[in-house]
Amino acid sequence: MPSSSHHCGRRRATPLTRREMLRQASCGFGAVAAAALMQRDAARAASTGIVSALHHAPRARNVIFLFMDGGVSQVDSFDPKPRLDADAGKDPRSLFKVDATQFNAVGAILPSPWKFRRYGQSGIPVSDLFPHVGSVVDELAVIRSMTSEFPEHTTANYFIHTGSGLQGRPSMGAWTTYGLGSENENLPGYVVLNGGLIPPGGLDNFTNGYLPATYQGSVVKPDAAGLANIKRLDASAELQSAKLGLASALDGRLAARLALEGRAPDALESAIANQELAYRMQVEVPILLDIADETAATKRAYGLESKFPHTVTFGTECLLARRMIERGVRFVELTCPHVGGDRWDQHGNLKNGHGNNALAVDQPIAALISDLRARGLLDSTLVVWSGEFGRTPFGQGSDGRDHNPQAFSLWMAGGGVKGGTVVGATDDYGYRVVERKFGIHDLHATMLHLLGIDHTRLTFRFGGRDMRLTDVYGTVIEDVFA
Amino acid sequence: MKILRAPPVHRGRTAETRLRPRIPRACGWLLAAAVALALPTAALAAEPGDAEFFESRVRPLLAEHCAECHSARAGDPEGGLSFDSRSDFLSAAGVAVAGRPDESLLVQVVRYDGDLQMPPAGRLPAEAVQTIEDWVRRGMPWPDDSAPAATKAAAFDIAERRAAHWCWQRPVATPPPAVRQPGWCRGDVDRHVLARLEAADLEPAPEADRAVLVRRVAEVLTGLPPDPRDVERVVDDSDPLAFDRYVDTLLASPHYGERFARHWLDVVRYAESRGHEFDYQIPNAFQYRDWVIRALNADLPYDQFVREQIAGDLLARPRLDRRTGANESVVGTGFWFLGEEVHSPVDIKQDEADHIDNRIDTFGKAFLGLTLGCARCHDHKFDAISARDYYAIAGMLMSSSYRQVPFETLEVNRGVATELAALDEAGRRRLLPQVADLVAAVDPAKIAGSITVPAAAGPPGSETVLADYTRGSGSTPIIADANAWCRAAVTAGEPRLVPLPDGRGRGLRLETVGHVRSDPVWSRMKSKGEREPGKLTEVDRAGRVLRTPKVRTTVGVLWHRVRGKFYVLAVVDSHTMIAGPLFGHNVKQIDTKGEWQWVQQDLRRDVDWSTGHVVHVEYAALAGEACVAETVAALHQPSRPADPLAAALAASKDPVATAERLRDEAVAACRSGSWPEPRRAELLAACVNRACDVGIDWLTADAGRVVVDALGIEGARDRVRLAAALASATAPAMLDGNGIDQHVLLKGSASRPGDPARRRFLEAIDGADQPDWPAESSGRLELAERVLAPANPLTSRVIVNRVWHHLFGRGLVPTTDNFGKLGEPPDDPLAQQLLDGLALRFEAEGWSLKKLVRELATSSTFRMSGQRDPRAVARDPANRLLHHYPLRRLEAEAIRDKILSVSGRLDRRVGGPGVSIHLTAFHDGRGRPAEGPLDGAGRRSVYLQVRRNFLPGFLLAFDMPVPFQAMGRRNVTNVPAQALTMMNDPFVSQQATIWARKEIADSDATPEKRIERMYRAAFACPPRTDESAIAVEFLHAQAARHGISFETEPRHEQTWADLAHALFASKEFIFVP
Repeated sequence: MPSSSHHCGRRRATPLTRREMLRQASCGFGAVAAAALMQRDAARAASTGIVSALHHAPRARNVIFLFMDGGVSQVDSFDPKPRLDADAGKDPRSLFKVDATQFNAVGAILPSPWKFRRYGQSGIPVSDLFPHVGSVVDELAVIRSMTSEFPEHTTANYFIHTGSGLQGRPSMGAWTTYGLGSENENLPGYVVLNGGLIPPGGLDNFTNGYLPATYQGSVVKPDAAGLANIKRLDASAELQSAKLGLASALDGRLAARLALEGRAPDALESAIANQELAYRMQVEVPILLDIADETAATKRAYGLESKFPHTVTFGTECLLARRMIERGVRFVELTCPHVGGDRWDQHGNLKNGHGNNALAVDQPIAALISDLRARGLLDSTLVVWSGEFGRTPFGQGSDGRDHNPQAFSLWMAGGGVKGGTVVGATDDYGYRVVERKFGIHDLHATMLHLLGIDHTRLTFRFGGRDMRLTDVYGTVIEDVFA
Repeated sequence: MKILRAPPVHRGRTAETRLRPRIPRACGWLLAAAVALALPTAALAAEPGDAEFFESRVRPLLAEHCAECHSARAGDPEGGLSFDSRSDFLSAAGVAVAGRPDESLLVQVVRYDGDLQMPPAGRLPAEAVQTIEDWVRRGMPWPDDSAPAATKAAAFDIAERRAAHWCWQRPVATPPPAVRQPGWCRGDVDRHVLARLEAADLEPAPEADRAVLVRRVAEVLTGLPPDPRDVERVVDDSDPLAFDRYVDTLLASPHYGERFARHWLDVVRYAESRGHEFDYQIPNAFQYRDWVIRALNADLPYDQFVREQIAGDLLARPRLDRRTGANESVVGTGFWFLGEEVHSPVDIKQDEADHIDNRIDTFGKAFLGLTLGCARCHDHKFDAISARDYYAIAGMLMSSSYRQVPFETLEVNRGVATELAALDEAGRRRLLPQVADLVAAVDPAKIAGSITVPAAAGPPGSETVLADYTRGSGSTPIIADANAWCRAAVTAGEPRLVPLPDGRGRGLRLETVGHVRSDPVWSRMKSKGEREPGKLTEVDRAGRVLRTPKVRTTVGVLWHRVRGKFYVLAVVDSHTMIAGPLFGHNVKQIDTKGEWQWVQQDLRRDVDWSTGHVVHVEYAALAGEACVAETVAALHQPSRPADPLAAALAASKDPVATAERLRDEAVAACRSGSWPEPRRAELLAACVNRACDVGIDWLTADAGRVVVDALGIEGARDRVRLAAALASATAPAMLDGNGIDQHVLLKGSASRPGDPARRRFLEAIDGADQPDWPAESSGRLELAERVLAPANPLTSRVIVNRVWHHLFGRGLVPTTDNFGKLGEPPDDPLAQQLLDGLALRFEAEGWSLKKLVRELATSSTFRMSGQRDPRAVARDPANRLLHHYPLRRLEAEAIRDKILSVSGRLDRRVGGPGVSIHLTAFHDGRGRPAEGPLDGAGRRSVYLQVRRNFLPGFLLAFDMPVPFQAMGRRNVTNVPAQALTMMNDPFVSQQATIWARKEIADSDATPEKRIERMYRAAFACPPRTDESAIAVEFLHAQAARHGISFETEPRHEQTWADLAHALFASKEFIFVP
């Protein structure tokens, strides 16, 4: 085995010149040099990405991550388990070994309150929680054999976002934009559409961590002033423009003065350029966030006429996600709306809780997939739907399920994904994975792979080693490839 | 003192199935430990075609999926199984049975059949599993033994690594190099810098303008712009030392400490909350921040600065605040507790390992510039640091624990406690002989008469003793967070005033159970400031905690033998964040109504005990006197003789004679003040008490005199108590305990303990044969001394380099937190000589940071302008040689502080609790804190709260680090969000208005005069050439846009605010020239 594939193994003993660094970057070795590079070239890196030649042909250019905060129950959504009906009411400990859970209130085997139906040509069963998603099931590759390592929200959230259960590590959106840059210089490369629920662990789920701040997730609310400091405070654009004009004039004189002294201040010029960009963003971002120009049919399809206000919120997020993808935003994450009760974390009240959460997201998600397909965007957009872990097949109390990191279902669609696929399997109860077991690192490796990045080669030197989104792990899940 | 060493944890063949963060499900050692099924060597003889099969299909598989762990390259191959070569593979017997795949462990693990599953990262594709099965079926052919063996990497060798890397060598003093232009040089630093430039045939840039220099040095040293009057004064001063004197002024300013404190806070991942789900606060973390500021401003020698952070709680002579008498040293240990914490971890042991990892990682980077954290899972891949080194230090942290220390009153109350102890000792000497006289007169028949024999105690069960204070001070160390608990155990035989049963006043009795006691006076202590979050909020524990030693046990039921009213916290694996769903039983309130009782605390519901945990208990007195005799982990209540006297008399053939003998023995002990061993002393004390019960009337004159004497002593105690300071601020700090050695955790997993690692310092620095570290303490004090010892080549270099980094924008070692192989070394030998020379002088001259800063700030090197010679740029584009002073953007905090300073809003008060940050709609999530004012109450940024989950957006946009590990060198990015912030952040806009108001307050000034003032404030220089005219023109035009005439309203606030805002938004405002 090549020793350089070890996480600690990749290094250059001698300091690099900038040219060398860029040359290396073009070989995909690039992030080695980023720590030095970002001191000078962050702006440039931000627009082009550190991986200036992809490691292999990409299948997708953008990612939409639909994060189902709280943990959707696999046995109530995409992994039907008739055995639960047969063994309803039995003590699970009499049937299989039960792991410690967060609350350790182990109840009886709890059948799903929802019926499963087969959809599409592939006939993949989907529960009645997701009839709309069922209608696009032939676009989905459902992985029923996902696992996490943490049975508790915050750590599991950090894990699925950053590949580490600890706080402060870069999020996958940050890694992606670090690797690929943004396709739209007027918009951030990594956007989090905040539907109302910031997952436990807070904004650090979207942090750039040790990567430069450029790659931080920009939290955007689904309304016209949704980005921090995007709203002009001046009474008119003219007033602001004149004010900034004065600042620019001073900057120009400073640059000229320094140039006379033989200085070619890159950082200064980037800062000046950023000011102009920021000014344009004030115009661009509100246009992006304003969905008035969408047709009534589109809005209806996304559920914006729904009587359930949370469907409207998530529908707006999905529609904005499409608009962002159209404009080249690299990585869009959607968080769930606050449907009342709780997010997908039904320790009790499963029927209502999962029901309302599904009602909020089902129609918009199906509309997003169909819309992306209709606009020819789906093939280049990877859509990932997942929670941070699954839920137990046995009850917690009479009508709830506890956390289960041993097995959960997620699905992918779009860029490079083979629709109508089911990967992996769980045991008769949906409690543990018995076939094609995958973990979060595998998910990340796969997502990067579809984007044309070898996850072992996307690195950033920090704290004495070359850090990776996948740490020292990760197997690409080839089963989902088209 | 009894040495409590952790017994080795059972390492049975129970494969770990619980979830662990970050740790692969690798159980390689099991492979080696498996039933030895000898591998028939003959079966390895290659058949035709086998070689090809192996080379083309098997070897690549092994290389790709197995060799990362099972290879000598990985250090020790996991479980002794290595796929490097045929002979290596053979040496791990029992892995496979030739020809019988179903019986081969190797096949079972890759099939993921059982609990042991390989490779840990994920199941192999089915074809690969098939290939391995086929290979085993064929008899595991492995033809060529030589090639892979030849590529075997060298084993981990500390001596070799140490010899091969510069940072482990002692700094060497070299005379300053000869230079061609000695006149340029003001000191050794300049000679080195110039020598490097001359060697490259380059010239230093000319000296910068005085005004530029003044701005530069003010912003670099204090993080604030210079007062325009100072600029003028220094520029106009013809004295060649005027600039040096200005540097001295800045170093004397409290703002120097604030500025360099912020740099240090980056290194120690400073935050005031613990992050995770609810972002609970770290109570009073700001006391540590203020400690740093005070230390830097007082120019506390750096060695002491380090010593106090590592072990300030253990100093024989702590540093006291001259004015208040507060213990300063102990506050430094807050350093350890600034990391993230989880309120309710499911795997508590792994959680502890993760915290300790963060502490070791921060310790290593902050003080040593070493990535010690890399040695958590394996010997360091590149540096001379072994996993044993890592766990040697981990043991010190496990041996210590967290507390809120009442640092303000610690020393005052230490004096009070000492006086009280002396009074008690004097009282004992005075009272006991009198008691003896009374007891000597009691008829033994009365003592022996009508005794009731207590029920026989049950059979002794299995116990793990956490603390046994009954046996006097020698048996269990008394660990307390302040002075509440007397430092010497109370032994059986101690006299004590008690109320008489019939309410007829008071009499004397002796203590019959040895214990540790909290004097009632301390139960009235109050702590000022923030309290613990969660369930620990209810009770004010600071200054009242008695901590038992830590013991490893698999029994989850604790028994407390106590008397009084208590708050008990059972700390499992050092977890003290009691909030959220788990660990509800770890806290308990106890009230025994004045009697000795065994109280049960069952922790089994919250924690799985099968694999054992390290436990200690913290007792805090709730009211009055509180006493602890024993703490035991046992499934059933420990049995102790209920009444030793009754038992002795019952067992005697002649109880009266026995009573007489015991009485006489007790009388002798009372007279001499010397008691026999504890169990005998208990019996004698019981005898005295019975004599008192049955034979002494305390209302008689003789007996009454003793009571009066005892009351007199009580009165004297009361007078001493008046001096006690009962209210104190508290700070997070270390509480030292008994020394525990941690095991080397295989692959860093808490569930896979290997051999114990003796506590000691790094082998690469102090050698493998270090004397045993103390068993009665954690060893942090020894650690601090080793960190600061001359044998350690790193400490002074690392800090000198940090200061260089801050003064010049790039360290002589650019990777400020990593001097190891993966860091960048000094650029050239001269750079290392410069670093070494500075480090050696720094040590020799008293570790003074201010002196170092002054030397650098007044050097010719620092005074260079930013002018760049194109030839120099071509030769050294990165300016490694420092041919000019680099243009730099101010840090986030300095930008915000400068805005406040220029607008006039800056509140220059030093220290105090953090200001709540201003929340925006984007600060969302659980644990959202209280809302703070938009302008942060005008305080410097270092005083804004640092809440992990709610960091201030303004500062984040400009690269304030996310606090999770040492970040001595910040990212410097350049992103549109920064421009958006300067354009549209309401804070900036608000400050522009405040500034404008200040400038137009003076009605007489001309616009030009105002513009000049504003320029001087923002840029430390007057407008250049036509810039004043440009600004005036802007004012006129902008006023018109606002719909007014500047002629008639020359003091129009919004117009001037727009000008102010434009100056804020200009790059010259935030770039240091």
